Amino acid sequence: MESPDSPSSFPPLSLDDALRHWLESGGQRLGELVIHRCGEGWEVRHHSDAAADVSTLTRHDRPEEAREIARYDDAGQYRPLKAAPTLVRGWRLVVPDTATLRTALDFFYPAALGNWVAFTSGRAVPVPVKATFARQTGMYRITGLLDDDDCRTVVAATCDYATRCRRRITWPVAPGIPLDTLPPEKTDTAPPDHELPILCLEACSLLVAAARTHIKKKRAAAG
Amino acid sequence: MDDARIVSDRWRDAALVLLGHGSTQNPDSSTPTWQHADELRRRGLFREVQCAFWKEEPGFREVMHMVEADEVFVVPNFISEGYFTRDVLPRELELTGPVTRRGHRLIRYCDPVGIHRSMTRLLLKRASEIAAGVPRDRISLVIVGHGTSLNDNSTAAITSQVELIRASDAGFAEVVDAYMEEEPLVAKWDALTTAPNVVVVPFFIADGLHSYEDIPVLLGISENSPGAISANQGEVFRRNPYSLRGRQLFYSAAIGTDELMADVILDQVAAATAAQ
Repeated sequence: MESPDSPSSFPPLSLDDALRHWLESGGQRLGELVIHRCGEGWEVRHHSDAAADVSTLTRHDRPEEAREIARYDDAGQYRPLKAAPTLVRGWRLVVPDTATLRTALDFFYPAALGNWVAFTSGRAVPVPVKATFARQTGMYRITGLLDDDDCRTVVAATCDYATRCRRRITWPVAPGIPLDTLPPEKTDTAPPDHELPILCLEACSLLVAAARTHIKKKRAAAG
Repeated sequence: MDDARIVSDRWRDAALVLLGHGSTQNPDSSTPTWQHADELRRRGLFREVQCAFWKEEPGFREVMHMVEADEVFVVPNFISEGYFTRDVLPRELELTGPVTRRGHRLIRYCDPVGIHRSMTRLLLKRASEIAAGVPRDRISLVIVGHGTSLNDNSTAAITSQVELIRASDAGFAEVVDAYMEEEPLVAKWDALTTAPNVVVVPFFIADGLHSYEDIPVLLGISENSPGAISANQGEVFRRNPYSLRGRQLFYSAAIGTDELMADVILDQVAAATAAQ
């Protein structure tokens, strides 16, 4: 969440400037995307199509088309989690400038740029997962009952970097209690310079829902 | 300079953030919110326009990292006031009331779109489009909600619209409310109405299981086919009119999918602007 006193102590960086600076310093990877300068501006592809001949890729020109590209996986299954490593191949998106590129990137990986800028400038404060659970009401109030090991178990199963989610977790279980059982790529917030990390600043609703399922099963098993 | 111009000049430096429920199951749940945002972005009224969702990305907790304006209008794309607009959204966005000051940023929390009086305009337009050429005095208009306390004040939002249209000069033979899970039940639509033509409009923010499948089954225009949602999306709206129980039945997509919802969003922003 935003740090309450941050705006006065840290003048906000322009997101467009941050994106431009990252690109100028060699940035080209975001999640499964690869971004290159082209004659008409900027071209975005699936990184596995980096070497593909343009004639084999379907061209798109509107940033909103990024949303459609990211909507279903190869098997036609809906992708509610955009950071899932299931982005389809076979397309290229060409946009004229970095402002339009920013719009498109926010459709592929919502808030990735904003979270990265907020995190690296100290304006975002990662929220411990137990605090997220403790805040829930209604049907999710029960997630406040997860203990530290429950949290580790649910995160390991729900957020797996290789198969489930390419976001990199910045938050601990609780203050002073780190998530130290995850593979390093899941928590490394500073990958090589050419890659912009998709940061997870707080547990998402998918994890909250998984936590609810976990604790209900655990309680049922305990009788 | 007139008032409208002064208002729109202020908006030009502000951000608009639309909040929706979203879904991990139904790919169409967030579509109207995205489309209204696209339309408002195209109009160039605001410095920036973003969306955020409870069940999709970006989430409510991260959307403020996506905007840069000092003034942010937050509009819930929800059909009624209730648990989400009063508890969940303020909690997740850490809002303290209609106006929240955070550092140099001012966040203006608007009312949900569904309770604005201009929803009436959409209902009338939708009825005219779907039953084009049919005189209004030969149409019974049925506005359908979910019913039960699960949906907060959606019942109040619907009865309010029914009263507004009845009191207007719209000229329908009759206007009634009906619900999926409480009286008056939409399944009894033929008993609730008397005109030869019946227009049924779901008062929902997006199309999904309720409008694609549940209500059509209750109306009797579709077979009960659990799980068929992805196979027949929207098809049920393209077969109008249905000849059924001695009437002509016209069935509409969810009211929230109407492109004029973008203007209702602006109406709520204007109301929040005027309220300060």
